[in-house]
Amino acid sequence: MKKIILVFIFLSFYWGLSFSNAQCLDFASSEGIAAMDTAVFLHDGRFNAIKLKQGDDIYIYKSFYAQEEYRIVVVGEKGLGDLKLEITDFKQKNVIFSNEKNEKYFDFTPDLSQRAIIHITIPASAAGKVPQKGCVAVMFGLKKL
Amino acid sequence: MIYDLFIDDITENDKQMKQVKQLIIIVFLGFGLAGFWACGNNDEKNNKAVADTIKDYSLDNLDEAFDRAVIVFYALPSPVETARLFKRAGAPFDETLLNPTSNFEKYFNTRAMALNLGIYGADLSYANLFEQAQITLNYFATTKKMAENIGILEAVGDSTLEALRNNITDKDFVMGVISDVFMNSQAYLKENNRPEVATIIIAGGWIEGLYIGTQLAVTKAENQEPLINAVADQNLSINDLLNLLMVYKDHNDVKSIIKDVETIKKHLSVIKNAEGKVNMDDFKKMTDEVARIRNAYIQ
Repeated sequence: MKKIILVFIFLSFYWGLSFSNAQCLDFASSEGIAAMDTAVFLHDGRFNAIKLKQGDDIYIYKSFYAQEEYRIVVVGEKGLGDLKLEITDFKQKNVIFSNEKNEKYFDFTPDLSQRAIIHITIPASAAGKVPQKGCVAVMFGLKKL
Repeated sequence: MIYDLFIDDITENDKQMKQVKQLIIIVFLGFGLAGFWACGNNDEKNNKAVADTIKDYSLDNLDEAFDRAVIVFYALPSPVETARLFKRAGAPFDETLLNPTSNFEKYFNTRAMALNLGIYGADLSYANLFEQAQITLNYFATTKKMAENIGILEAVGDSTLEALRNNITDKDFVMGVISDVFMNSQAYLKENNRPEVATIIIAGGWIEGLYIGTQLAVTKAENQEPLINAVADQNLSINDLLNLLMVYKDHNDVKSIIKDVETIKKHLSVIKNAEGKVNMDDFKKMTDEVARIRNAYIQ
């Protein structure tokens, strides 16, 4: 029983991952880049996208450098609901930003270089409903010089 | 998520359900995260540091953990970001610091190719930021060849190279193309279940950025202090790099890189004293150590 489950897990992992990655690259390249506003910001080139379901959480550790003008974009596929975004200073644990109005991005220019934790919460599905799945992309932009 | 593929089909009794849950969570923690870009869960110290915000998803909390996944990403500064940091701090351009494109033919195994793809990527970003058109084109072509050799197909199409040639003086256009290439390459490696290669590329780029920054700070910068502080700021991201590498700590190609990054960390963490002042003797020691490690990679 265990062996069969393990084999199935591995196969599912590889097949599932391959499919969801390709799908999430397309999503990040379209929706993520659109929210980035590439006329003003340059995408930093990192790929942070993954397929998740309602009720899941993402924590991202990221260093932000003083005087750099960042745009942090968080987008999720339709059906996941409005994503909750909270950015907290790693050292002081102060909340830097919380998207109370469901904003898809946050522009941030730190005075001092710092490490932050970006917490994204996908709202849980309604009671009794099957959680929806979809891609979530987190992208970092740097204001063009 | 991995367990989503199972949950709808599980109709076994409670005991079997518990077994399935355990196996699923083990795989999720042990292997699943390894497949995600910049993702990991194995840094106990780090997890402790944010224990007030992240729950302990050990097997003891299995039933609670089962209902939701917690994904941890480590978003390392990209070569573009690091190059901008140094430029803002007054760094000049120095072609002699780049890994010569003629070295390209030396790299045969996956580890060397991945490290130097990261290194060439950092050199490319640095050259473009300083509007070195011909050097940028040369490094872009080398990066393309290296990406192909490592098996990243279509990271850079011929049409992209042509567009780049036609717009080589447009720094932002070129930077946009470079960013697209980095993102597509990372996604491709994930898609093809080679996340450790993507991680080695990141490590190569991060170390090259630090190499360029340290060399410029000690030899070229007119006003050293801003650049030295910018280099010291890399201490913020070195733990993220280590956490990321540790996901693949059992992989032969990654083991020695972890050791190198730990060595750099030892130096980087002591260059600033309690008052935030940089000790130049320690800075120079770190500069030498970074150069030794980086030069070994490009051989």
